[in-house]
Amino acid sequence: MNCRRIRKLLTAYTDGELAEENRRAVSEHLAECERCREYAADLSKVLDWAALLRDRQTSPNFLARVKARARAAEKPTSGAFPFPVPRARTALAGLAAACLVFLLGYLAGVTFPRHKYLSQGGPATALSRAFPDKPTAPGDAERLIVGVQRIKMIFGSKLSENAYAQLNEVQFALAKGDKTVVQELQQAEEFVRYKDFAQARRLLDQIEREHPEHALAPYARMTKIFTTEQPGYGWQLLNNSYAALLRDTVINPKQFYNQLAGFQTEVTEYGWQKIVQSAERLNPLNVLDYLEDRLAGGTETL
Amino acid sequence: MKDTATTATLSDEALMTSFAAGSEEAFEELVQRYAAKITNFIRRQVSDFATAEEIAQDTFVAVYRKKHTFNPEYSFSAWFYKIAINFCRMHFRRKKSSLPTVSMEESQQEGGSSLQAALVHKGLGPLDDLSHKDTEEKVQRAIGELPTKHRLVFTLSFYEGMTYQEIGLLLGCSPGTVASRKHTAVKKLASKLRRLAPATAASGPRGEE
Repeated sequence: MNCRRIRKLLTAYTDGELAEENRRAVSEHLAECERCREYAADLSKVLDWAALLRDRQTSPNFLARVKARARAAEKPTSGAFPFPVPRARTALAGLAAACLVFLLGYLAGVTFPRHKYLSQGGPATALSRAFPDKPTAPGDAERLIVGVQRIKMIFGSKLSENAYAQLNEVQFALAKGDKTVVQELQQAEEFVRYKDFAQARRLLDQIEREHPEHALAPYARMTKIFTTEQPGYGWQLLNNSYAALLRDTVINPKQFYNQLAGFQTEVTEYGWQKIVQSAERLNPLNVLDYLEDRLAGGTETL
Repeated sequence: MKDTATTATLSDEALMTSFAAGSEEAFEELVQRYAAKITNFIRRQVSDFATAEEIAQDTFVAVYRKKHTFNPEYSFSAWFYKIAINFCRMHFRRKKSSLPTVSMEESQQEGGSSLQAALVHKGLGPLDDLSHKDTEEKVQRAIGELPTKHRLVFTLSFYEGMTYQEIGLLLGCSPGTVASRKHTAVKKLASKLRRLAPATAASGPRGEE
């Protein structure tokens, strides 16, 4: 190995994170290359500096303040949010309202033709069609929930009211443990669907505040996109954020790639490589980073 | 606090289970264990101790409120850091930028009190003067200027002592990505710190790209 490659491994070497083969290669190289030894010494000097940042003590009233704030937070908040929030108890009512809105839209002349996939056997068939490839990792439920979301996004308004409701049911059934969040996210979707971006944004902000245990970062980005009136991209993010929400969710790279095809005209060849690479590493956040950059007219580098 | 002796010997996960079952004392023990640790971790992200204490408290409040969603089969510490990191991200988003408003170059141009000047004046080598309080602030600022993804990896690895594998699980990336981010972070820090003390600069790690 040449000096350049060795140097790239030095940090992992110092951290004891190299596999035996590389560890030996670095160690042998250092024994005979003085310049790389110096380089290694310089790196460790940086760590000496970093070590100067010592821990401080927290304030004496830290525990008391945490407990006071925790108790205050247990009480229902008021006034923070100007419309009924779909918390656990009211979520079903919220959904019912959403369905009503949907129905009204239908009566007002919007048509929702049944998509052929769904008319030929319902969501289960559609799901199996959405995942013709061999799954790449365990976690069937998580994969399916993303699949459901994907179907909702791809087929969008083509879904009948009934099919949409069925998909919601599937999603609830699959969302283990945290139905509240999924319900709240769906409420937000409804706001977006009817272009009430301000409400959607407020709800999403609240969801993020109330559920810090989930990686909901994509939501904040989505709200930005929605409020700049680019709902198509916003939907994309919404879909991805379900994946982030379920942290063990695995994205099938091929599916994901196809799903992103709508952006083809805006993305360069190099950009596509980046997207595919990120998708293959199963990290939707990386893809988001990239797309967001593109949208902001940012640079090519990730 | 008569049960302190027993609580103190429980694992974090056992404490969470006991807290979910109603033991406030278990929660207090968790706060005692993690308060300083998490506050200092957050401080390294946000570069300000008072803000860090606020965010650390937010994190504990979230633990308090979310006690029933914790799965004791998984590590408490990973769950806890994840919450803290999400709060940090929210904080940065509110600030609209993850960078401090004054860059290191600017503050150095302000001159007078710069570390560099102090060192030259006293005729001390930079590594002899490492305990200088000002130095600690500059190191914090250098870390604060790192891009978020590099700063997270660097601090989790160096200060929190996590393995690449653990960091990867926490941040949702592969250990290989962690390795390259850590290396990039160290190189970036080297060039930032070089501006703090020119004497180390001569021997500081050189960029490769």
